[in-house]
Amino acid sequence: MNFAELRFWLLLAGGLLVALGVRLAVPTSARDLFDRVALALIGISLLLAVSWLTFLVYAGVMGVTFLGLRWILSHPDRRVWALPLVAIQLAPLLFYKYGHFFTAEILRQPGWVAADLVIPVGISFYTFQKVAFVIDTVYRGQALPGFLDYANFAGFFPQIVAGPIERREDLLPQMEKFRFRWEPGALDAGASWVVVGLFLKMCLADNLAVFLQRDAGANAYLIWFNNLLFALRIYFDFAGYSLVALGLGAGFGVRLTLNFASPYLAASPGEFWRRWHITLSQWFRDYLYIPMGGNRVRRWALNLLLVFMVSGLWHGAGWNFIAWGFFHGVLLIVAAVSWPKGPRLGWLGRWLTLGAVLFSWMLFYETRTDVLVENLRTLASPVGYSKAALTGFLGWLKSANGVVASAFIALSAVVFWLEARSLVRGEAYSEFRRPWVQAALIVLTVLLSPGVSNGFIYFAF
Amino acid sequence: MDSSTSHSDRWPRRLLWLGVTLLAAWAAGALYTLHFNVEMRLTRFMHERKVGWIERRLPSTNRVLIFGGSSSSFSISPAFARERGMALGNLGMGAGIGAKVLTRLALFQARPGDTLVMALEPDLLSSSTAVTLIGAQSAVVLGHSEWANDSDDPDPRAHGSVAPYVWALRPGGAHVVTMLGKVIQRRPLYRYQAPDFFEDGQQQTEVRGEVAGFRGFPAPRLSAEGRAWVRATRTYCETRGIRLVYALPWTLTDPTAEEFVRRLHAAFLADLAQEVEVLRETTLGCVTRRDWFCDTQFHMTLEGSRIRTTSLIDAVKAGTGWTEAELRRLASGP
Repeated sequence: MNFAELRFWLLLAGGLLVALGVRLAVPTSARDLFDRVALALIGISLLLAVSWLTFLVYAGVMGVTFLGLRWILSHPDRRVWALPLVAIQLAPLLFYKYGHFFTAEILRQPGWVAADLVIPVGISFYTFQKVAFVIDTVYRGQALPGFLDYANFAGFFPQIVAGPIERREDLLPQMEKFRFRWEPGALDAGASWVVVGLFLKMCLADNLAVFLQRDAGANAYLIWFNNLLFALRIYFDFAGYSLVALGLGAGFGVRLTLNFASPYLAASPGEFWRRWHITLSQWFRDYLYIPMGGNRVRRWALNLLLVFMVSGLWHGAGWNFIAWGFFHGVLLIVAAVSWPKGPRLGWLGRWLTLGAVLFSWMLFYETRTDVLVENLRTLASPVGYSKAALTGFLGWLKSANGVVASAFIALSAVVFWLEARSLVRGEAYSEFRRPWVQAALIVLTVLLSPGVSNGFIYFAF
Repeated sequence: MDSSTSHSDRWPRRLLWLGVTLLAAWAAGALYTLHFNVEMRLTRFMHERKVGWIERRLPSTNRVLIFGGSSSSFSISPAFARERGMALGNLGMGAGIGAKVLTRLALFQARPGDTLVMALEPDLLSSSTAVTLIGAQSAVVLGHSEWANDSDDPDPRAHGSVAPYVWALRPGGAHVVTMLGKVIQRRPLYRYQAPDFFEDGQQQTEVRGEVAGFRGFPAPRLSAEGRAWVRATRTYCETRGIRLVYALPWTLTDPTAEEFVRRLHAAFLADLAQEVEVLRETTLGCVTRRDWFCDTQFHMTLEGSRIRTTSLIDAVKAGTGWTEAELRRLASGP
């Protein structure tokens, strides 16, 4: 379900045409039910188009969650049984994503689970959404919805493979009332988000992806440049996806959560995490950090560190991801202790936050431990910043690739300027939704998209 | 579909307007690509010239046709081969066109009894073989959009999905930025021009510059996609009575890294030898003579190309390629 591929849009258009065609023959009294069935079938078809494995694992987790909840809710000890159900929900995720890492790195048995096991697309996202659903239903004493509405909540196609991770109280009521409606305003709003999202992904992320050099050698300038390129790429890639999801949802009359809100303009590490992958941050806060005691307990710093290490692990099975989470945990603790009253450092706070985030991306993208250690040494050593290193870096910048990369970084700067203007207006990305800006984004996307099919980075999570 | 829309706001005007903008932008991109893009204009010209030589000057069968990226275009001299009694055609184009389109372009010309020399640059077989933007554009410009088919079937007459090459008729970011840079600096829009091509299709250039010798990075490794593509091409050729061989392009190599690069190349060729006959050229693609190269480490001068063409003629005539075991021994070093 790659929004950047024409195939997705053709499949969606085909599915909609069939659904709306059949709908004409359905009696008016049955259209409520028909619309919800059709939405579920469209979602299933799109998942099947990704792969059989993706659909089967998704269907397994969805089915087990529903049947397990039905059994639990008829049982007096429902709170006790919720935890085994969550464990069963997490089992496929643990097997596919962490099986090899755990057996190879912890048990030292690399042959037990294949290293190249294909991870079903979206498993981290929909598993977390369903875990939250179980907890909300059992611990907050809410009723189990009908299977069709639950299926649409669990498998709403715009957000199933890469979020946003929606809550029961936000999405389920919308699914229960879902109908295909001709709402020009909703279609316009949806289209405007889709345009922004595809521009960020296809024009910026895909062009920048080409220039990330895996081996920067002992050149600190190149390492920082790589960090910058990766920071831009992953943001445009994931925010782009999330905005297309938001737009698709809006087009269908369903309001999804804004998953990003100009995170690189954050004035503190805490604000960064309130703007980056918002629904995941909220998930960890509500279902892990607060149950551990939140800010009210003395060991809050340790809890924070643990939550961020788990968050790192959620992004990938590797020591580097754990280190990335650990770094952000430490950063938040330092900021909370030394900077308790919130962002008062203004632009200095923004640059410090941005610098720390740029540094952290190296821990994220460099999965080879030996190279990562070497890069850290280079960044910490004056030799890495020598005149020869600077000359080498400037030489690369003047090359054909360097010039093109610089041009797209300059275009990214314009994007951040528009983001800043949007924040001043009080609504993230609002400047991008002006009609003439939208036209410019379309022209840039069509003319500049590199035509290289880069999968969304977060599909791997 | 239910409607809750007022009479005056019946249509999603912005959506329609954005759709029109999308079509207009695509049409402008397609017009530019097909008629004004200098790289595509040269691609069309070079293809006409190379095919023209094959059709006019070579017999109808028992020919040797070499294909690959610009390394072949620069380094192989059909006219020189003709003087030595070999009916040789040079179908080297631009490496940016990619493995699939380059291969189909050559298979389209090949006939039973021909020898097809695959001289694809290692880069093209060591990563994804997916059809590139330039590849799709070239296929359309050459009048064979079916070559942009992204399937693993090398048949040049097989038709695939229309969508990839329709969407590919856009310049792309790297092209736009490069062209803008050249316009601003008042430099020629493209380094190579029509007069750089001889009648036999060989390419040369007056451009000279600082060219560093290859030191073994990135190390060439046959990718799974590359292997599958070579295997499919071999099967296609076998069923049509075409002899398929592989020849590694010659690369200007840093003298201090020569032995290391030879071993890397031997390992790459050993992988290839599992799938296809590898021509027995003792250079293993490593050349340290700077004066045999012009503007890049793959583009040979006229003098260098004659040495290279002679080596190719001898290797094709010898009829026996490297064995995988021999190449593995060479890869493991002395």
